[in-house]
Amino acid sequence: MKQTCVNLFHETAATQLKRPWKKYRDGTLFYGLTKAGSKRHALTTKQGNKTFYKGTRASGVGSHTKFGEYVINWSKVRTYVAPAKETWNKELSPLIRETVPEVRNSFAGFKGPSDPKLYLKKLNEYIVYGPQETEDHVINDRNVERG
Amino acid sequence: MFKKNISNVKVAHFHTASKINGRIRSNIQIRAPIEPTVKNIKVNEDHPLWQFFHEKKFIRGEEDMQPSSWRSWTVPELRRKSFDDLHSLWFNCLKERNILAREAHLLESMKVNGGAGTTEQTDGPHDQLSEKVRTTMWRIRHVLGERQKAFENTQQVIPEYKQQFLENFKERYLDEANGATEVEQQDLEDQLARLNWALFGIDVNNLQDITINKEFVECVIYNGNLKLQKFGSKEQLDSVGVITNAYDAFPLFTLSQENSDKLGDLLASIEKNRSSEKYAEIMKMVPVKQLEQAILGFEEVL
Amino acid sequence: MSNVSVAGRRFWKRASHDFLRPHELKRIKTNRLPFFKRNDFVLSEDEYKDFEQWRYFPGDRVMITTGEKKGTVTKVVSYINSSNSLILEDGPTYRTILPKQFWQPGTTSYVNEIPEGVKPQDLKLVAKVHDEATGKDKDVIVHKFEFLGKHFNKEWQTWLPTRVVKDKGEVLYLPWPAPESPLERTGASGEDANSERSYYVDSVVHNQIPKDALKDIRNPYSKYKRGTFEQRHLNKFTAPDMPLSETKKAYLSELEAKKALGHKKLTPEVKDFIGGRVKKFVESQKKDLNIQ
Repeated sequence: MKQTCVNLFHETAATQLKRPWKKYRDGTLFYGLTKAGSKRHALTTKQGNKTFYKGTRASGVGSHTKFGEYVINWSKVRTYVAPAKETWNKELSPLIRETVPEVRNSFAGFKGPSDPKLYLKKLNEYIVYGPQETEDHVINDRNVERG
Repeated sequence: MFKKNISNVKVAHFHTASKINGRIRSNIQIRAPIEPTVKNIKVNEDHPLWQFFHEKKFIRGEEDMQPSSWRSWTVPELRRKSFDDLHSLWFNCLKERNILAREAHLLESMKVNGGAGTTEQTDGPHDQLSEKVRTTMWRIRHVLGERQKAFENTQQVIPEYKQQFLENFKERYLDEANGATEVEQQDLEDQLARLNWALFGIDVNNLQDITINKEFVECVIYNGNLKLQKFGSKEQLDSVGVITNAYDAFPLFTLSQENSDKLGDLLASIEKNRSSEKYAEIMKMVPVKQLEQAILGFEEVL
Repeated sequence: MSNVSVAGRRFWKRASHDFLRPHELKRIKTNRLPFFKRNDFVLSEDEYKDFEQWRYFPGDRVMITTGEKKGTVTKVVSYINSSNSLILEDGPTYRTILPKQFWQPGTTSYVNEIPEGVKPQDLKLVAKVHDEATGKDKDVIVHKFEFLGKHFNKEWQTWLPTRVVKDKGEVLYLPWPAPESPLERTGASGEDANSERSYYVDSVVHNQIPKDALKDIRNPYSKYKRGTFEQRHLNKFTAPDMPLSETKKAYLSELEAKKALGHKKLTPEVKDFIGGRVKKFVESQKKDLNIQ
């Protein structure tokens, strides 16, 4: 048996028929289909009149010539710069195991990650020690490292 | 009669192309038909579409798809990575999302568990993992943005700090160079090379395709003075004085630990240059032109 | 289900419910006939998600403050997410009918005692404190505790909120219960490709980020980017002054001329003159009104 609304449970068929034609506060009709809901959505490709054209942002990269050819304008074609073969590090995984503890950064003495003084400090460390981790970098026992 | 008739019957001939084909590939043989099944399709090991599969699996099992056992990269973890690594990671993420989308679409079409393991309330494992990868991706952009901001902020303050930075380095460099062993000397040379790259943008180990600009002039003057103070005696220092132009500094710029005994010759050439007629004329030029003259003149000496 | 974009997913979710909006769905759910309705059931969006909300962790010793088992000191066993309550080792139970498919090994009857969830509000934490007088540990019931930042918990190998008791400026730390068996944690710093450091600041002249990549890193059309208001903007938005008419110019020059004269102090003669005029006027008034 189909469930009925709780607020109609005690009412007889006659009282229900005698109810005034009304809507609920949220705009739904007291019986029948809803007419409420947000209507402000972007049109899909199937909507609109005959002049409505919605592309996929993938076409329209060139122009037709009078000979029926299509000339591609390469400045309109999207290009993606993938890492070079030598520098592509395939070992980096997109996700990390939950078992790897999270490290936090501290910026004690600096305004934050974009502080120029921190940049200069790191630069000085690089000049002195070269590309290797210094004492400041190392994760301490509270699992915090210098940012 | 019958035989005669037979000889008149027209025989269907092979098409010309078939004849040629038969001539070229005479060893063609009839074999059993190939069954149109998946097993009989051979795919190259390096086919580009394999990038849409996880370890060439058709679909991953539940044990590989536990959203609770994976997490996104955190910002501190990404801060450790160079641009190339982050760029690689971005594309690794992109590929992973492609794989997830492919698998989710497959499950959707098979209607397994109402799509990709979803109920009305919660997302399936594919969606959850995909969201986590997306989080990694926005964090990559965040970290690079932060890094760029730091670089730009440093550009603002560097005129203020540069001189102090160079002075501090000079002091430490000359101090440590005193009585240093050969290994330590090499380390100091490396440090100087890194300083030149850091503050002047000059790679002193690779001067082949260098453009002569303001930074290079500054670099030459700084290095010239530094080497003069490192290798020169007190008398030599007094006679030459502090070098303020690239024309005088360039000969000293070429000095290194190996050829430090040539300092006397170089100082003599500087003296010679100073006493020549051209000197006053060169001093009126802009610093970049002075350096060009110095490089031309130096080649002549060699 | 599409996992290509968030918007796409939202669309598919909606599509699976015959295009019912969230508020319509909610109405249908709440207006259902009360079949086996559980009072302790919470909506999924109200479920507890972090330790600050749960307040206790499985393994914590607690005291029950209400109900039949009031005053019992026991241990937290697990969470019940659907009702935001905790199952205790020696907590309250209720009698219920259990269909055969839910029977555990050892169940012999359809009617069973099942542990009932207890809300965190109905519990008090029991902590151990070293008593210096007797030299032994004693149990203390914590009336009130709060959370103070986060710390890296070595036993759990993760970041957990710090539980503290604050009293008269003193801060007492309440440790979280340790895991039953030590956790196996892998991939600590510097062990694999993911945690290896490859970024070093190396120059103020050369940027490590290629110039072409910048427009993909930062959104040039970001709504959070407000820019700065400069003088040229001010000039642009300020209307130019209208040229003055001849009359106005004459008036202004007159004003200027008056201003140039400056403010003069009253001389005694002028004061006498003004005083005389006032006196003359007052007397004429008196005469008119016949005031003596």
